Amino acid sequence: MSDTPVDAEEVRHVAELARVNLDEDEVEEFATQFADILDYFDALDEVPEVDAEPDLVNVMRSDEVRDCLDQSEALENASDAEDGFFKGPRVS
Amino acid sequence: MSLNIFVTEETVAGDDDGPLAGKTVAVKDNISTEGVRTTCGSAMLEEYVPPYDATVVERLKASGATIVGKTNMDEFGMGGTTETSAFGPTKNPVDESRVPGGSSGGSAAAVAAGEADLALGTDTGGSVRNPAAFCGVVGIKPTYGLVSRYGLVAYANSLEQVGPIGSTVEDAAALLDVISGADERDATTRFDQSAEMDAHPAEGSDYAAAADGDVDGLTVGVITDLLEGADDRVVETFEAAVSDLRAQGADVVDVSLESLEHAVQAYYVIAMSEASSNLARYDGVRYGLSTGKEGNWNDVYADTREEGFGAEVKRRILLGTYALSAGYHDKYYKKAQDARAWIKQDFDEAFAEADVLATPTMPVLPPELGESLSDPLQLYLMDANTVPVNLANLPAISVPAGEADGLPVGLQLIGPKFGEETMIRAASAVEN
Amino acid sequence: MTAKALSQRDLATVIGLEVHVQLETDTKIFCGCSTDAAEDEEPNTRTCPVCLGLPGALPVLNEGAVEAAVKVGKALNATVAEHTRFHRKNYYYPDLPKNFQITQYDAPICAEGTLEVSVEGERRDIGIERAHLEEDPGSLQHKGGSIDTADYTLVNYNRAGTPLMEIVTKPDFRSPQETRAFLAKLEEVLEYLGIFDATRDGSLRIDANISMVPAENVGDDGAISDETLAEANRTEVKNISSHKGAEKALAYEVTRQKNAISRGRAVEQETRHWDESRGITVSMRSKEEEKDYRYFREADLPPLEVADWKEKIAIPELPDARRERFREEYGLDAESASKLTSTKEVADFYEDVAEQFDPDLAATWVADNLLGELNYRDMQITDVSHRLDEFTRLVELVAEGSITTKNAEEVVLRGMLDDGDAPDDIVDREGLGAADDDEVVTAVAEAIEENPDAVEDYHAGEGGAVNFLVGQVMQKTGGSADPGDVNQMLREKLDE
Repeated sequence: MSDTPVDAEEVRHVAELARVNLDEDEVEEFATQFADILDYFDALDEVPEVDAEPDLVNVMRSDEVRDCLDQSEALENASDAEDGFFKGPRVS
Repeated sequence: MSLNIFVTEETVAGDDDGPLAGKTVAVKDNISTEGVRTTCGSAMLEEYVPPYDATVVERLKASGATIVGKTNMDEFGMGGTTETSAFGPTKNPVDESRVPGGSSGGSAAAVAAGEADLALGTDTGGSVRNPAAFCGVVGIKPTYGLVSRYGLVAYANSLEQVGPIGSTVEDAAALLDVISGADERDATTRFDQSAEMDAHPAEGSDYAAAADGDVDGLTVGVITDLLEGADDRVVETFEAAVSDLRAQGADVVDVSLESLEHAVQAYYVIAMSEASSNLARYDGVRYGLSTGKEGNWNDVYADTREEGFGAEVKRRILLGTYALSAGYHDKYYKKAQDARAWIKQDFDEAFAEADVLATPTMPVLPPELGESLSDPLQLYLMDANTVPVNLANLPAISVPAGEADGLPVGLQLIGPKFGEETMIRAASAVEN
Repeated sequence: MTAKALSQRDLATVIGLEVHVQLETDTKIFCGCSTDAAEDEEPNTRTCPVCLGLPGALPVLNEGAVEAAVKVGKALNATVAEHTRFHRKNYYYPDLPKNFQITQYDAPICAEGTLEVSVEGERRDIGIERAHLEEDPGSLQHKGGSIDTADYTLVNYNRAGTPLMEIVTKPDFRSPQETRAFLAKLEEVLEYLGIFDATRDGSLRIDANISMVPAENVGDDGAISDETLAEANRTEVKNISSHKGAEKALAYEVTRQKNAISRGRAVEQETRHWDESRGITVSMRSKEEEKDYRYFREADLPPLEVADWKEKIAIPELPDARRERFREEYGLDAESASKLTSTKEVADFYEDVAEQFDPDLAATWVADNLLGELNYRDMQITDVSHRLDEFTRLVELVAEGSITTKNAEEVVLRGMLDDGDAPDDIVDREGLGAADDDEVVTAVAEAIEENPDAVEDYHAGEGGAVNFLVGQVMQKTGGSADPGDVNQMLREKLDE
């Protein structure tokens, strides 16, 4: 089937790196699909090394103050706020 | 029977006067509209209301157009059939048992169904051209940097552009005139500051006027590599349209680009890698879904994303994370960038032989609803004709070439960098 | 290197620093929000779609930040790269609006510089590996406990997007004192460049890397081989926010590590957190997790080619050079030169004054009198630099003898600072002008008339009585008569 075996363990590891919880069904399903997809991506091994010139360089703006949002606009879509702060879960 | 074109129907009147006064426009739901819900077709942003307008929306309002709603789309732009939307699929107005294409399916369907005169879509790997082809309307993907991305919710920021959709080439081109131009809030549009150009290419442009149908002496290069493996009925319709161009005075030659063999892989590795980073911001704190679950930061974040994202989005985020991760970065991401550079070079060489390049927009006729969802890889392969254009940062247009078995077939014309006028001219001849 | 083997040798300290400096630009690095934080500013009032990380927002580079970076490179004798670009560093933390930080990775804007430090008279060059630009995250509050025990987190993104420069040194430090000297020097240079404000909370953040190696592996000039460094276990110390804190934290670490080694225990390769209030470092091992930042280029920001800016951008004379010149040009001693170059603004002010007067007089007035009075009132030179003309007028009045030094110091200068009045106005109001002759004559006559007892004492042979009369005359003339002259005039009058 595929040269690149991707087992459930690896899927779980990547899911953690990406901060996406997966249930066991998803882990299994993705393991199979990823094997095929990554196998397909392996064809990139054949591509030669090519250097590319950037299209644009040195795009900057002047150091001048521009309009910003007021506090209510900034907090408008927050699920939880307190005293003007965004409120989120504890860190550890 | 509802085609499920809109996620949000809301009228936003533009200025009294302007080049698009009296026209209605549908806006894809990944383009920020101040005060109007912008969901990106995702449960994650089901209630998100932006406090600002995208630059293209500002320009739209200033042109006198009236916005009639936010259109349905594949979730975060990831998909080619508008079936990954959290709000249900959109139906193709030409044949309601079929998909309208994607990810800008709602926008193309809106124009095809007469719900709006014009529409804005976005194109990362074909997402304007694909639905334009499947719905029998015109869709343009501009050169990267022609149109501002400020306000376009990012999926793959080195590949995507906002693009106009209309019933005719001239209509779509007129909308392109309105939305294109340098924007100080998008550094990738600042060709007005580059050493090689005096001004941004859209300055003083008149794309609508280029739709004059005059292809006498124009050389059209057919990319033979992208005809192989396409549905016979599509190829037949395509070749008839090309013959017609020949009859109108165009020269037709065959071109081949060896690098295109790796285009789909390169596209997906780059797009998924960028997506994994662009979508990291959705943690439910500043905006977005809140699951109300308990736990620490990491736990809640991972739960929110589990619930808020659909399967295709999760798949791409994970694969993108994988492609960038230590140990795999060189094998996948770096190699994809090499492939991209190679493809750009190949196109440059091809434009030495032809003024525009031609392919069928899609290798297949519009699939039935539900048909494409079982095998993700098959879905990705459907993009073979459109993704090379995004990789090379070039402009392309899909124009109706005819029908096969009653279903629309699109012809794709690819222009040189900032060569929108030439491409539009050739496309308007196809319409004749 | 086994712990036992190490413990049997003499140990030397090797330290490298990563210094994060907030740059004083008017706006944030990737958006036009102001960087000016008012004392009591409300949270989330200085944000926009870009620094809040709203969907669809895009970064645009602030040229002021690039200018500041080039100035730093120039001041540190570093190379400014021909090609430099931004990368994304992907990780998740509530203070990071996009859950990635835009920073620089393999192509930093500056590299290979040096900064000379001197500790107890000994000068050494500290190598600067690289210096790059990046954005500051927002600020967090852990509510209901400490970072480990809090119930929830409050986030304020006002600070998010402030331009930072990360300056990474080579592992050239051989003692905690050297790091303190370096940081103090670095702060001084950055302030001279006008791009740094030490008084601003959080403007300086330091991470240190420290290893103990066998002393015999350290060359006379402090050189250490790569192998030695690779073999040693490195401890990272985070959460240091001042040059004094750096010395304390690292001194603590040296002791801790030496103790461990002498007991035959290995020093772990780990990250530790400096707790300033307790004066200790605490292991953060539980927070250690795989750090795969998945760096890739930031496609929204075109790369920079600004090597030629190094030539074009001027930087002011740096503190060391200025001190040297003050000593030579103005003949000042080391202490005065040091005081007068404590900040660029003080040095500028002094030179303006020294242009018009004898440098020593100018030095006394600026270094001793003015700075002393400012200090006492918690004022800065920048509070009065716009009043240079008034200040030089004051010195002029003293130089030409129109007022006494005492009055100038105690009445006029203080009046200028406390009430904002001009020197001439104060002199007139307080009648400090050198008393004209008539005034003195009258005062002498009055003093004699009003004090018969003193006059009698004088005639009785008590020469000291004339001092009392001098005092009376001084009072009448508001202290502006010359005491010597008054004494003479009284005697003449009394002897008539």
